Amino acid sequence: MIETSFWPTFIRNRMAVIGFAMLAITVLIALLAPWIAPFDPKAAIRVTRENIFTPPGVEHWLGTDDVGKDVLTNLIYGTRVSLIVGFFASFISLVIGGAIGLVAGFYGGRVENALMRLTDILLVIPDLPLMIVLIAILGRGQWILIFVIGILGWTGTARVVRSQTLSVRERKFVQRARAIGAGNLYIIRRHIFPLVFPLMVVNAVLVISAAILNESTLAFLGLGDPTRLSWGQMLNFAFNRGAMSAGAWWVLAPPGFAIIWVVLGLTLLGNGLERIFNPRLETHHLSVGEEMVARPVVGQPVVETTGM
Amino acid sequence: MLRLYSKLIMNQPTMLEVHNLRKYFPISNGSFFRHSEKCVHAVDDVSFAMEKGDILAVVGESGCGKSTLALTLLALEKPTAGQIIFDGKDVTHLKGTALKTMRRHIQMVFQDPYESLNPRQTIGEIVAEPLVVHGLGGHNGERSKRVVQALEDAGLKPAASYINRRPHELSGGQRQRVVIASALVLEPSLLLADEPVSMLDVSIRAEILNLLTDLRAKRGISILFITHDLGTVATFAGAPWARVAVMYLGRIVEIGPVHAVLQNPQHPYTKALLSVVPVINPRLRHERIILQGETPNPIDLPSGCRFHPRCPIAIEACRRIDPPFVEVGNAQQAACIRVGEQYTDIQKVVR
Amino acid sequence: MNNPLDEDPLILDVRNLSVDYVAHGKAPAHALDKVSFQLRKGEMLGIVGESGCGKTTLMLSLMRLLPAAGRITNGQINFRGQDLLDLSEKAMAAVRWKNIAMIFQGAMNALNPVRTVGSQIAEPIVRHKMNTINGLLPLHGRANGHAAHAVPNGNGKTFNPTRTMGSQIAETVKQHETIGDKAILNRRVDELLDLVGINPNRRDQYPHQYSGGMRQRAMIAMALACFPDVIIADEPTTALDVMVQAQILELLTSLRQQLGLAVLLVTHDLGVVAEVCDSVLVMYGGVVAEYTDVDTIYNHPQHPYTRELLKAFPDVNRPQEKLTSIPGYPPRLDALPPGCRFAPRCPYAFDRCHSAPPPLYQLSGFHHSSCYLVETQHLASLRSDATSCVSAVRRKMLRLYQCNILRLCGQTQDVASLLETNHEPTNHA
Repeated sequence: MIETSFWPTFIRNRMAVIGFAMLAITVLIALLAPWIAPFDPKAAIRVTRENIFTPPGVEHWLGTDDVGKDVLTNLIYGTRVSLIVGFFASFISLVIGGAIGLVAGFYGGRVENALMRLTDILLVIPDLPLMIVLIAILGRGQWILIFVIGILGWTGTARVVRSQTLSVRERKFVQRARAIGAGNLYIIRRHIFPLVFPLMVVNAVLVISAAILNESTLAFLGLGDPTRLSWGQMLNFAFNRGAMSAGAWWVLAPPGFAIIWVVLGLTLLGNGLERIFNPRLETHHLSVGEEMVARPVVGQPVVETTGM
Repeated sequence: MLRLYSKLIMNQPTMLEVHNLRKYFPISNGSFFRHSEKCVHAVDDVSFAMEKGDILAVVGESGCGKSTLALTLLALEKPTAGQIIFDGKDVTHLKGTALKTMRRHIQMVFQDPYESLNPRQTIGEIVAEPLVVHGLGGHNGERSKRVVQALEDAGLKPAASYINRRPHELSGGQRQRVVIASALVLEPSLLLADEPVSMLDVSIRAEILNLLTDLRAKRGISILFITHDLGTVATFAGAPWARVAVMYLGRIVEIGPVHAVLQNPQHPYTKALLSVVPVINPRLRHERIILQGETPNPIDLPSGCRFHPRCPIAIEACRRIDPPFVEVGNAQQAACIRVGEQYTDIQKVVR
Repeated sequence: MNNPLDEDPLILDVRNLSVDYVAHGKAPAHALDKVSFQLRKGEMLGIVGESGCGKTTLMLSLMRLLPAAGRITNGQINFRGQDLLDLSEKAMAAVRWKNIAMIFQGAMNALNPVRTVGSQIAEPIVRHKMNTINGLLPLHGRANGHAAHAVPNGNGKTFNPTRTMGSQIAETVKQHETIGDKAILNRRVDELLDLVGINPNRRDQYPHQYSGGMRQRAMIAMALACFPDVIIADEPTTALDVMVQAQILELLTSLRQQLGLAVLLVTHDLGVVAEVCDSVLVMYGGVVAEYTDVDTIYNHPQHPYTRELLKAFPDVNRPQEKLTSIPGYPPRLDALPPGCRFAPRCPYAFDRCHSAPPPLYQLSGFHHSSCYLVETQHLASLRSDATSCVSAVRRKMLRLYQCNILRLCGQTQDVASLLETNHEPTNHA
């Protein structure tokens, strides 16, 4: 079904393919950083007046920053940091959001009420100030950053998962599974989760991009890990160390561009995937209008599945 | 209940006995804390019995409670009151493992063959699922054998060609057979079929109905057959082990052998239902009793006899008296105070 | 064509209608092939067949509401002498609903839940600008005349269930600023509701406050809104309880008599057809299998598909008989068998059936059947009952008898063809 026809459908969807390509390039850069970066980021550099803020040139393709380090190298290694924080934080969000959504949607009643009120509360409180407060309490550091972003980013996932769980729960084959004698956990594992998972994948992509953006913002505000140079951190240094006044656009533009690149790629991929995984595609109706066909015309695939 | 007594005398446990079963659904006002007084009387005092190898057809229009009855028997809904006795044991309030074990004996076939199957599972997985859930058929060899057997018993031959296919590749009739196969794989003694053919084309309904009667003959499975279509019930008319119960607003208003009820209906509702079943021979067009309006909601029930607001022969007493069952001979019973009268005041629509 | 209703004027004359569904990269699906039938004023024609036989495609073609992939490749749809396929979209929009109205399948769920029922019934009236004094002919006058001037309007939609009532009411009110028009509108809606048996007080209720049967009646009221000549009812009673079904059929019959409507009733239920229709069109795989009046269909069916369908139909009055079903599946419309479309499943098929599709034969009177068996059964005594359960030997005897009779009648070519082909009916399990 979806699995067998996934790749052809995927390739036909240009947005998804472009987004995927952009993301793939980014991940590749992160993985191959030691080989493609022109300089060693840890090498000590003698800081001289000529070194700092040199404009892009033959030796330094993107120039140097305020301490004489090659911007391109920073950018390439920064990919790693941003992606690591992004992926791990979003992993936490997905696990929490998925669990809460599944439990709330499946069990309903007071449990659902309570969980959803919690979700609503978190949705209402503005993300950024809350994150700032938490970091102020917990201190700075990469893992704290991951933790804070992760623990506040699950609300969207929870809602999506809950609504999908609700709709799958009501489907007849779930009732049938109960009639057979299946217990709740079995039903969740075998029937609900496989149908919820594709939506989680779509949602995941968007959560990752939000996490990366959050990380960049927080780092830019100076709340990131100063020892690890993420893109946001690069921007932070750029602003705080006089790149603007020195007119050194090459220190500001690349990290900004990189952030845009990654988020754009993820968003395109997410939107494309959503189109592919949309449950509406699982019906077999003649698309004349649902009210015009009594029941799906199975056994005559030509008439039904060519999207007429 | 006459048969029940005769069985007791002969000391055989009846396979299924239902005593005064009620299922009410409270209507909530939407508030978190308060509960409303009103409820939907979906099943309201239903009693009947079934022997091994019986077919009982439960007929009624939507809202009469027949589907709720099935769900309650299957323990997918908890009864509000009453007793269900299966194989001599009281199973009304079973929980946990005992409930799970009982499920092996009562299985259900659902109405919608397009929705009853998980689109992501293969046919083999679907039919094997009950075995997996109950931990039966230990190693794979045994399990696949039972799956193949069930598929073939349900008429899907050669079974091997179906095992790896997915539901969307099959037609409605085939899917319904898959549902039946998955119900058979546990070798139940009672099969609840909730409108198993109403979503299938007329030209393939017969296959499924014949399959069910064959299963009854070959495996001795009893079948509780729920439908709104009296024509389908008529296919069982020749059999002495086939009975029909007509339900209205949560109660059985008439029950008896199929041929007796169809030839000689006693309750005015049964008479009306029978008269409006479309007849395909235009030369046999007859007078029809078309009731006005629709079934009232099961929340605010009429006083006295529930049917009296729509009954074509209602009299004053019907508003006060809730009629008990009256025996009409031959194990047929009807709940109407005017049973047996020759009445001339029935309003019919003549065409 | 000879027809007991001959004296009435012909409203709809469909000839050789063929429709394909196209899809890039694949062979086109021949959804309809040379379908022909007629509909007279006051006649109710039942169109019967399994799912996928093309009934809905046929109805949509009549309204020219086919989906983007549908192409009408051949044929004429003559409505009162005017071929609808020649009309521009604008002109067609005027015909839609005003002259031919449709009650869609699953209509009960096609009502917009956020608009009142009254406003939804009013919509087509206003769209076709019928709520002016000119448009307000008394309903009973409809039996003799037909609707006022066809006013073309730019809106090709007949009934959009997804638009909010509020917005549509606002729009229509804007089109007619005067209060007078609105009063006329409401009066009209009340009349319609009353006609279908709904209390006019319920005009301003929402669809969820109506029961299933009432919603179906509301759909009928909507279809009647512009005094159409023809109503197409696509499975109007599927999903309804049998009692409500009887009520709706009763309503359709009385409306037909009161208003002189012609009705096309599409269904898969033979019983419904037998109850209320005058004539029947049995479809299979996109072609006409049999077309005749309802009495003949039951008592003298000629096409094997009709016969098998009748045998599969449970009859409360013949309860002892075991039901049969038709083995196999309807044909794939993009991979049709070369001969008769029913041949693969037909218990009487012989060689010729598999090689070329049979034409639509006209039998005595108003009876058409597209089956080669017709050719060998000119004589009344050889019809129906004999072929259904005969053994091979008996069949051979029958063939010989037929040949002799035909020789006596001097029809030697038929004899030759009879003897050539192998007439042993093959059994397809």
